[in-house]
Amino acid sequence: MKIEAIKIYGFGKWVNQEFTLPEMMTVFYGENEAGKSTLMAFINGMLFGFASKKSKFINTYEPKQQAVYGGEIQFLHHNKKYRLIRRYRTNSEIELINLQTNENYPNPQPILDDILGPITSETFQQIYAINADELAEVRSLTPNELEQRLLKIGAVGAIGWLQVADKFEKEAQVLFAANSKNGKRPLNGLLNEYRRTVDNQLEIQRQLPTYFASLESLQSQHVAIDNLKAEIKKRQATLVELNELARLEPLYQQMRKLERKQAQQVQQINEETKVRFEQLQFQKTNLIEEITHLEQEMHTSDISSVYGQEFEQQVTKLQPRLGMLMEMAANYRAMEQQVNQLSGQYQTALNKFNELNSASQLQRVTPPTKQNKSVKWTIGAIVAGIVILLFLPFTIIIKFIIAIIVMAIIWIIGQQTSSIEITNDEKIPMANIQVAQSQLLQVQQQLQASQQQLQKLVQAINREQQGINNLKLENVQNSVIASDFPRQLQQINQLLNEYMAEQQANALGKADQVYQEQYYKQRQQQLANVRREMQTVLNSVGLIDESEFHLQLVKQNVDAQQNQELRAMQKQFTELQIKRLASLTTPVTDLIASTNMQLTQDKVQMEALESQLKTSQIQHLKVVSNGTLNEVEQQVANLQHDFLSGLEDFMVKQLTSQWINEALKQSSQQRMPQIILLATKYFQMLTGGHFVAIKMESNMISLVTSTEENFTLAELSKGTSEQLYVAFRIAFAQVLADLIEFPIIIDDGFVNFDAQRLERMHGLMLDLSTKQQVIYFTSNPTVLTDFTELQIVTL
Amino acid sequence: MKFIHTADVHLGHPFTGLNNVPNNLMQQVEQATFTSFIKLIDFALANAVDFVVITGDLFDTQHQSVQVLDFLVAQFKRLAIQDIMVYLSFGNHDFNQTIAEFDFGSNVTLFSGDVTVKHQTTQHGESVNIVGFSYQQQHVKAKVIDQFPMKETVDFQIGMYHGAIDGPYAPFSITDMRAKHYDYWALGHIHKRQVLAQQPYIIYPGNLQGQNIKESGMKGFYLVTNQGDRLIPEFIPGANVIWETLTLEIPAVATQNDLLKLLLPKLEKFATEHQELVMTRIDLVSQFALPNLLELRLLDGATVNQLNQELRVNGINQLWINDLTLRQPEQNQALAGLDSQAWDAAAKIVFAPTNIHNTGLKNVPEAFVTSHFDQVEVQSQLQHRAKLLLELYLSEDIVDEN
Repeated sequence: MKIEAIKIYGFGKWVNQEFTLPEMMTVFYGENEAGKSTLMAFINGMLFGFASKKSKFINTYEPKQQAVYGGEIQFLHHNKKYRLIRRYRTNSEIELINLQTNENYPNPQPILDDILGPITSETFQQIYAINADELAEVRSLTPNELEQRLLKIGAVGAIGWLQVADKFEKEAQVLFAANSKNGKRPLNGLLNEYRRTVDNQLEIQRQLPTYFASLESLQSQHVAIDNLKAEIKKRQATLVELNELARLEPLYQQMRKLERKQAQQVQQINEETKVRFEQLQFQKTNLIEEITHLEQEMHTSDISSVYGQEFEQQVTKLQPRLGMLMEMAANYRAMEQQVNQLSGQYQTALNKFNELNSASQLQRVTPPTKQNKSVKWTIGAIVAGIVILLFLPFTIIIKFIIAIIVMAIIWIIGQQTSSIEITNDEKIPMANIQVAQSQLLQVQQQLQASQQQLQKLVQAINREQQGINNLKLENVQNSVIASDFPRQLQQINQLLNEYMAEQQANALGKADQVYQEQYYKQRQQQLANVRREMQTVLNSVGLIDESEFHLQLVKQNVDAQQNQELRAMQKQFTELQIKRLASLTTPVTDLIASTNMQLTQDKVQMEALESQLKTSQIQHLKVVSNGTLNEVEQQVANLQHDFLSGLEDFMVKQLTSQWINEALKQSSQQRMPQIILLATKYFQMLTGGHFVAIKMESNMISLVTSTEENFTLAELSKGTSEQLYVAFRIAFAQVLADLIEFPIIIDDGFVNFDAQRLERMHGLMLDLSTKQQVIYFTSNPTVLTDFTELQIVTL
Repeated sequence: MKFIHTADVHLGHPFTGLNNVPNNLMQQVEQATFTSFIKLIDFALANAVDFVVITGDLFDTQHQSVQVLDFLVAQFKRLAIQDIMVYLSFGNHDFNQTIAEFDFGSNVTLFSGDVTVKHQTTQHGESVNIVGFSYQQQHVKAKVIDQFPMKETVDFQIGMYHGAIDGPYAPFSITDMRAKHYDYWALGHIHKRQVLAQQPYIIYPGNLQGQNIKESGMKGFYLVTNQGDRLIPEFIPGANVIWETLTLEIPAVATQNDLLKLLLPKLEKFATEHQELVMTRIDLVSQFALPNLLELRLLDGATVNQLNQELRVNGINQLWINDLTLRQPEQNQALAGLDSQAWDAAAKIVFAPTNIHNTGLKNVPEAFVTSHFDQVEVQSQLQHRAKLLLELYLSEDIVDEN
């Protein structure tokens, strides 16, 4: 394709402007802002369509003056001349006219597409347009980047593609940098978060031992609390018990005392022994009673026989004399009566005498007085006799003699005294008195004789009485008074009668007595046995005699009573209480106090344990609820997913970029030998023959000078690098010209070229234009000398 | 007698492949293994079963946590109140020496490494033997089935067996099991529900709660009841979150709006068919090749986001589109610009696993990353998306002023 004419209706600063391009080499020369870039954009827009998009970043080249947007170009393609007309930017109209046939194609787009072939706006730019920006960019590349770019230059649209690749790579780099540690990039941030979360997860998993420990601690605390609760309960029970014990303690002490007492008094006599002993006692009492009874019975019969021998002698002496004694007694009574009669007579006689000389007569002594006096003397004599008998230290016979003498003397004195008195009384001489006196004297004589007789009798009686008294008979009153004598005799008589009767009875009971004696002996034997047995019993219980036994029994009774009391007391205790009280070494009150203290301590401990448990429970809950692993794991899973999808996005961009690069390389490598061939030629031209060869070995580019020196890209100057790039670039455009012939459009970017280099560049362009149309936009006035007038269009 | 048979509960196991799930749903999903287990316990209590049999993988050693243990103790305690026993054996995921001594509760019987016979008398007086064992390490190559004793003179004998017919997980055969004359085999290990035999029943209950799209469909456990002297299982749905793949066929569409309008009613209808939260993968089948941009948006998740937003706007909260796969006619469009040979040659180099590794994985040692990108589908998906990106760049139809 060769563009022959350009006609602009309206495009940016250009309005109704026409240019013709007669030569294969056309230089558009103009100052900056002359409209070179606009013209380039117009050519591009005419061929590939105007910008349909609009944004502040896209220059749409709206006409500055009122004009139809668009224009026309005239070109030669495969020896056919065409005119292409485009109007309007949006809803743009397109016309294609074959100038040779003047055919205006009704559907021009396919024909245009066919003409343009695979070339698009982009590829056109990439392959055929060499612009200032591109060269500026090349200058900024590192040698390595330049190398990469040079290697890919052989691919269609390499630069554009490279830009795309670069864009994707940059987008990818924004997402993630695999070796970056900071989390500024979203994926790095995500990865960091993921790692943190995994750490957290591990941390939580590490809590497991803590959890187990916490669980165990909780369990042991529960156990401790339960134990303490039990202990407190026990203590409370103890306290209740102790309080009860405290109440019981005095009673217990009392009981203990009793018990101790009881313990001391070892019970010696058991019930059996007691019963046995009591039986024995009863037997003994019975036996004794019986024996006593028997003895009594036997005694009564015994007395008659035992006393009998002595008694019999006396009785046998007494019995024959009893008649005489009775007579004596009767004499005595008769004598006494006689005396009494005589005394009465004497009294009467005396009274008569007294009546006779009553007025002048002295009072006379009355016989009773005399009698009294004589009795008194008698008594005195007897007393003296007795005293002598009793108290004088002589033999009984001497005593007897002395006594009789003394009694006789006393009695005689007594008799004389009374006779003197009487004599004194009867001295009263009176007439009548004489008779009376004689009578009285007669009576007196009689009386005196009687009294003498009586006296003698009394003496005899007394002697008898003595004898009787000496017999000391039972039931016979001992007396020395004569008047008692008859009674004594009577008694003796009765005694004798009784004796006789008994003598008779005794003779009858003799046989019975034998039997009784045997029976008695039997009883005695039994009694002895009983006594022996009792003694055995007593010995067995370590007692000496019955009284001790009874004492012991009494004691035992007391003990039994106390025991009952004790039992009653014991009933107030339970066995346990007894045991407890027994085991107490300290007073209950102390125990209560200490238990109370312990209880208080326990309760304090309980509170402490409970609060500790509460804390532990809270801690445990914390462990349990603290960032649940499940949540964290889900977070991990989600983060994994997020990271993977992010990484995929990153990968897609990164790989797309790589893909482009790789495809470019692949594509480029096919054309590379051809390109290097041409590039070497152009590079040689541009460097004025300084460099003669470009070598490419295993993707490394090196350059050889005419003096066979080798240079790497890094060793080249910026200017030489730029020349090398241009050489490659043009070589590529030319190689592709084989595929499709398109004008090469060069925007002046050789700002860094010196005059010599620029001249060489211009020469290269002229050389190139022999094969391909070259359109060169420049503001450099050197073109005016380097190119012909026909070749130059001044803007 | 009545008992519950479950296995592979994997308590606390995280759900994988969740895509931008909003917080409220995330909580529901996060708790799903727990809530499903609670549901099971509720059911056990409500039906007054005699015992619960858990044949392995109740939790993951890897994911074993304070919360899981605490949770288990609390749930087992609930059963203890009603005297419901628990027979627990460890599988290849929850084998663990450290918690062998852990006190799960008085009503929980944990099997040791040796095959052991446990005995229980049910509420109705049936005598039952439960025979099982626990894994002591991750792999058990021995045919543990051979160590199981023959049925004893009991009413029912139940075998608890965590394993697989093939492989290093206590291999067994149905014939082996039948030979023991048990009344029921409570299996575990395989997450997909399967009835291997009916005479007697040999059953994998499947896992209680699906955790990724591969574990799709309703999950749950078995209630096993005796009918005379036979033990008859009944499946009880128990999962709180269901995973489902929904295949949708679409005709040619030109714009994003058209696509959304086409998909939404179908999704809404699908949502009404479920009570549980359904985590959905849309398997989109397009009869015609979709425009690049539409395809790209389908693949980069933009369309899925839009669909989820629309569903929420329409008040549908029980359906979450987690991801989308696209099936459409092969476009085989050559990339413009460069010759296709160059593109193909380059693709072979660029999308090779080595290059993928060098590009983004070199300094990311995490296994989940490498294993993800090792997948051939992932690699080809990357290439596919790269191509779409290039095409999009070439066509430049980002904004259309017309």
